[in-house]
Amino acid sequence: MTSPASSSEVKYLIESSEGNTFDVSGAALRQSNTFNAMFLNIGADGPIPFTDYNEATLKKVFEYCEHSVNEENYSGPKHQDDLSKWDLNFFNEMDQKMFIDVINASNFLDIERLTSYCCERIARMLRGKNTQEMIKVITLPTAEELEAKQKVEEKKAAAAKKVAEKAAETAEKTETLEELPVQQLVQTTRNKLTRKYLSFSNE
Amino acid sequence: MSSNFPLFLLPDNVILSVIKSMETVEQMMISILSRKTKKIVSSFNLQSYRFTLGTTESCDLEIRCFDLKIRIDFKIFENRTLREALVTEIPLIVKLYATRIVNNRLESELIGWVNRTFKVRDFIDHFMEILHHDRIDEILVSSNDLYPPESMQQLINGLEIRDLYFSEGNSDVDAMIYLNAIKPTRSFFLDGSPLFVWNHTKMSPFFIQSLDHIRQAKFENFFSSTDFSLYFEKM
Repeated sequence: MTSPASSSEVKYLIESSEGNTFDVSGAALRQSNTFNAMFLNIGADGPIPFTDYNEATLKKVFEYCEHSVNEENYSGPKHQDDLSKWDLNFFNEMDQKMFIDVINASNFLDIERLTSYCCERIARMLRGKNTQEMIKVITLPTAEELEAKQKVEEKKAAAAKKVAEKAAETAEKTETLEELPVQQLVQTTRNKLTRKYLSFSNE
Repeated sequence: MSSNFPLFLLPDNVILSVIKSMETVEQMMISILSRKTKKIVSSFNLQSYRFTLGTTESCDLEIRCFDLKIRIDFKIFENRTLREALVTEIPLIVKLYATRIVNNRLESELIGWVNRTFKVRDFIDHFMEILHHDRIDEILVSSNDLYPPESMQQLINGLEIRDLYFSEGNSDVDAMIYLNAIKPTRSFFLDGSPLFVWNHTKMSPFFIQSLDHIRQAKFENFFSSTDFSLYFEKM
């Protein structure tokens, strides 16, 4: 079990769309408001399913979170010119598809800092442009594309529901654990820790 | 990264954040693109305190916001000698000049584009809507105007006009034609004979009574004027 403790040493397992799991530090994951709202106080029993995003995208998003763990608290958008060399490299090495996936994942996970930098970066593409040039850059979508977007948003809402259900389920189990007698609780925790140790050893 | 970016395929709250992180001028530009962007920009509650419409050199709309002055110049015909041009036509070229104070000095930016869709009135309505402004504060007219008064009347039909300024060179007849076409609700300012006001207060008492004041002055240029002694306050 991944623990609800607030120590940055705690690792959480994340599950991607490919079904792969990888671990992310609690400190990095706490930058996600979605995570905070659902799992921070109760912990997660098993991997957290962010199955709408592929492994590469999630790793990229959490790479950013891991990097910004030690930065001061987020206080609103920063101008692109103020970004550090690491931040600029982080954005520059992404192709457009990855960039869009990262925005979508960051938006779903509600990571304010990353989402706002991505938005600022897009706004920069349109700086000093007239309406015709803007249309060329942002390519107005066709009806089919808009329909596809709507379907994706519905799918994401379903995924968010799934994550919420998982959180609710974990909360329920935590409550049940609290009701157990002390000896039984110690035994259950010991079993879970053993299972976790074994799963890490197998990997 | 590619120079094209499918902004509208991103989630709506991301589109909103992107537009929010733009400068005010860019927000005004992107608001023209679609109904969706217009709705988003309208939700930002941008404010302006003065809309001025002038037709002396060309048809231009000046919008003053608190930290920004924007002048939108509508070129309806390239040839200035076409005096019968109608201001209700679709302008061919639109030029937007934005001036703001940066580090205690003025910085200007020009954004121009070829327009094939919107009429001048569409632009006025659009900017009034996104800037939550419900009136034209000033109209500047002169005898040297490019556009006939009837065309001006059609352009501003249904809008509240606060102040009407007659600039140098208007005869009493010109002033009367404009006053018949454009009825200000607050004041009018003219550079002409003081007797004109006296004579016409008798002609249209209802119109004059509804005004807050009438100002009679020597209009030097756009930036400076010297008041004459005649100044009416509404009773």
